[in-house]
Amino acid sequence: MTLKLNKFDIILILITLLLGVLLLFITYQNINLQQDQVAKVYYRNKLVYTFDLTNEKKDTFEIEATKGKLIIIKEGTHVRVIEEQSNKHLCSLQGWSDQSIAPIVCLPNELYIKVEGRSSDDVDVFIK
Amino acid sequence: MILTTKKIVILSLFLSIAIIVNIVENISFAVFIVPGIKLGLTNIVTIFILYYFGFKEMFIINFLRVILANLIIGTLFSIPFIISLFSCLGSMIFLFIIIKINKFSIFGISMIQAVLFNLFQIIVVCLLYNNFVFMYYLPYLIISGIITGYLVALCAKYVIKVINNHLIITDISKNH
Repeated sequence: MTLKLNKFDIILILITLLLGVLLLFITYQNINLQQDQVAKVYYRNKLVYTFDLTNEKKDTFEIEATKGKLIIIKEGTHVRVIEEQSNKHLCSLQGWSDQSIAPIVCLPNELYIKVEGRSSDDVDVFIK
Repeated sequence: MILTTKKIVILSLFLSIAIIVNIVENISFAVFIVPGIKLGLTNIVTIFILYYFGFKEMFIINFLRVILANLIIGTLFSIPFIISLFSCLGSMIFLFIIIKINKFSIFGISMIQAVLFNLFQIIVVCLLYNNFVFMYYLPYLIISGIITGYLVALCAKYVIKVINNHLIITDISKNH
């Protein structure tokens, strides 16, 4: 093992960066563009609350998570965590989210918020 | 792996350095917003041990570091500990194959280690939560792995250069 950057390292950097950019491109291609969006709050893998992101109404959800009280607010079409107990406070630092590609994850509290379109199983219209 | 008293003492010293760096990095404020991204300063010690002593020593130090650092900060058997332990073990297995190929410098090894660790981190989280939504972070973690891996290797290179000229560990290392 040498201390100098060699051609194999450069090939590795290029391939990995290309892979990263390609994945980033694919991810952005798959942004959920559905208008009817909801933010689902999962705690310990169970759906505990759903925010409707289609209206401008303010909404708040409070839960006693693994590390303590956790508060999620919804304003407009965005959701964010405003209060939680954890070492790094990553999920509250992340700020607002309104896209499926930016889930809010709080691992110490075993909670995550996933933005998605309404389930395709949902019934839109009944015709009699 | 021959363990002399001198080697045990030196490896213990580096293990304690790795634990301290790990704890300091863990308690320091979050620099990056995407979960899972960090500089990985502990890998400076890891790369150093790999260069001087070999894979087995690096594996032991890394494994003990994850357990002891989490024991000290009180997060043993927590979710971040499980993620950290399995990511560490998973990346080590693949790193062993990469080291056997013997084509990469410490820069390549450091970058592969960082990317593999991030990759396994995501896989473990996805399996723990039985949800693939976390895969959205993968591109950011791959790109950040390359950058942090390069920076860590750069630091390790300077540490190795300094120790090459000054320290007494050269007589027990595999490279001397």
